[in-house]
Amino acid sequence: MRRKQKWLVNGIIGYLLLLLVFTGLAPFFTPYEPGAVGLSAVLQPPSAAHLFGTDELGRDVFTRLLYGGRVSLAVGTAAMLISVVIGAGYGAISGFVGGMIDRVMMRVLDALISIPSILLMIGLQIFLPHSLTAVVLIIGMTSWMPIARLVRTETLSLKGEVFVQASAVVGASSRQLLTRHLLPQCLPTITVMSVSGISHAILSEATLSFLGLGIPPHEPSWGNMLMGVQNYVLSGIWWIAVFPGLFITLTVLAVTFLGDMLQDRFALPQFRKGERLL
Amino acid sequence: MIKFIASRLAEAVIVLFIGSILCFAFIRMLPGDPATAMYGDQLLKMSQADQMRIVENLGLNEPLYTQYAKWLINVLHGEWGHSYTTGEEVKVMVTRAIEPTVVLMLSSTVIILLLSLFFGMVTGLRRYSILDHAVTIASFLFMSLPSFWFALMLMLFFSVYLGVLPTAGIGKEGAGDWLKHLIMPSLVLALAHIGYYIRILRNHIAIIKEKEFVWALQARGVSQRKILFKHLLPNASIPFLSFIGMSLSLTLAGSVVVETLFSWPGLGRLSLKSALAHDYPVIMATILLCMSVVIIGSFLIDLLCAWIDPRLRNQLMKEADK
Repeated sequence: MRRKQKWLVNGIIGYLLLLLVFTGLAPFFTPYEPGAVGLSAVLQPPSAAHLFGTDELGRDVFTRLLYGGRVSLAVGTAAMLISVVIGAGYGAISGFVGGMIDRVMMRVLDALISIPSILLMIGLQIFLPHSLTAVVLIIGMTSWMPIARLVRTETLSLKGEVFVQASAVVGASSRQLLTRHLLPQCLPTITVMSVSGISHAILSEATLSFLGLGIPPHEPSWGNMLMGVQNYVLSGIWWIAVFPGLFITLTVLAVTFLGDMLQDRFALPQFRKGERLL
Repeated sequence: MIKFIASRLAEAVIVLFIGSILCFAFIRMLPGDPATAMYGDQLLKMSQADQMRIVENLGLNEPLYTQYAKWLINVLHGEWGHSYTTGEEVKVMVTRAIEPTVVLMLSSTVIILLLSLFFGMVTGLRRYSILDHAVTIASFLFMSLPSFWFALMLMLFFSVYLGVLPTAGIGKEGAGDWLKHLIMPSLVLALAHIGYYIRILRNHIAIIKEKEFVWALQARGVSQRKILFKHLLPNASIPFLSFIGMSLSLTLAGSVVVETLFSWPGLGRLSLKSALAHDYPVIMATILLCMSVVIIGSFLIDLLCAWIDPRLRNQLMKEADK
C-alpha cells in the first residue's frame, strides 16, 4: 500500500483543490445563473450546451452543482466547527472535573447517542426556523458526541500526567490547565475527528435536504438538488440525480481518506478500537 | 456475575431515565402550551375561571417534577396520546409500524453478517492482496455514499432499466413477491454500514493472526480451518459484536431514509411523516421507542460479550466490584 499511497494522496488533494477552485470561482466556469429558469429547455439530457443536462425548471445542473458545492462545503465545515467546539468543551470539562458531574455528563451523552441522529435532527428542527443557519446548527448540535467521548478519555488520562500535576502544584488555575495543557494535547485527536466530521456533516446536509428538512429550496446545495428527484428517476431521467450524488460521494470519499491518512500520520492509539467509526 | 449484570442494568436504567427527562423537557419546550394546543383559540374566549380550571385539570399548575412523574406513568402504561393529524391513538400507529421495521432491520443484519464475516475474514487473512485492496476501496465507497442516493441508483438500475424489482411498499402476493420488495431496502440499509463491519473484523483478524498463541497452534500442526473458526473468529467477534450494539442507532437512523424512499410502512417513515406534519405526540413516541430499543439492545450486547469472553467478563466484574 505504501508505494501506491503517494498517487492516492496527490489525487485526493488534487480533487479537493480543484473542487475549491471550481466552486469558489463558479461564475468563471459557467455561463448560466444557478437560479435561471429556462422553461424552453426543461429536463434536457446532457449535451454540449448543458454539460450535465437541465432539471425540471430548465436550470443547468452543472451550474447548480458548482454553486451548490459552495453551500454544501460551507455548511459541512461550519457544522463541523460547531460540533468540535461543543464536543471538545463538553469532553474536556467532563474529564477534568470528574466525579459525580463527570458521571452525570457521560450518562446524558449516552442518552443523546442512543437517539438515532436523524430523529434528533428532526426534533431540533421544530425549534429552529427553516434556514441555512438552522441546518448548520442542527448538524453541529447533533454530531458532537463522539468527539466529546474521545476528548474526555484523553483528558482523563492526561490529568494524571506529571507535567499537568506539576503546573497544578505551582498554582495554575483550572482554566489555565484546560486551555494550556489538556486541550492542546488533545489537538491531534480533535484534528482527525474534525476532518471526518466534515464528511459526516456533508452527508447529513444532503440527507436532511433530500428529506425536505434541510436548506430552503431556493438555495442550491448538493442535497437540495436531489430533493424530489425520486419520481424523475423512476421515469428514467437519470442526470438530475446521478451528478449531484456523484459529487457528494467523491467529496465525502476524499475527505474520509484524508482523515484516515491524518490518523495514520498521528498514529493515535485510541482510534485503533474502531471508535472513530462512530 | 450478578453484581456485574446489576450494575450494567442500573446504568441502562439511569440512561433511560435521563433520556426520558430530555424527552419531557423537549415536550415542554414545544411552541405553544398544552392548554392552547388542546383548545386553540377557544381558550382566549373563555372566562378566567374556566381557563384556571383547564390548567388545573391538565395538571399544569403542579410542580414540574409531579408533572414529569405523571407523564412518565402515562408513557409506561402506553398512553401516548392521539395523533394531531389523524386523531388515531399513537400507540396503535406505532405498534402497527414496529413489525415492518423489525423485518427490515433483521434482513439487513443477516446481509451484514454474511457479507462482512466472509469479506472481513478473507481480507484479514490476506492483507494487502488484490482482493483486500478492492474490498477496502469498496468499503470506503459505501461509507461515503449517501444512502438515499444509493437507493435511487439501485432503483434506476433494477427497476427502471431491468424492471425486475418493485420500488415501493411491502409485497403481499406470496413469499416471492414479499422477498422481491424486501431486497432493495434491506440491501441499502445493510451496505450503508457494512464497510465499518468489514474493516473492524479485518483489522482484528490481522492483529490476532500475529499473536503467539496462533503461532503455537500452527507449530503444533493444527489445521488452518480449525485455527480460523475456533481461535481467530471467536477472538475477533467481541469488537464486532459490540459494534453491532453501537450501530443500532445508526441503523435506526438509516431506516428513516430507507423506509421513506421505499414507502415501507415502518417506524422510520412514520417519524419523518409526523415530523413534516408537526405531529408532536407521534414524533415523541417514536423517539422514545427508538431510544429505549438502542439502550436495551446495547445492554444485551454487553451481556452477550461478557458471556462469550471470559477475560472481558473478569475485567468487567472487577470493575463492578469497585
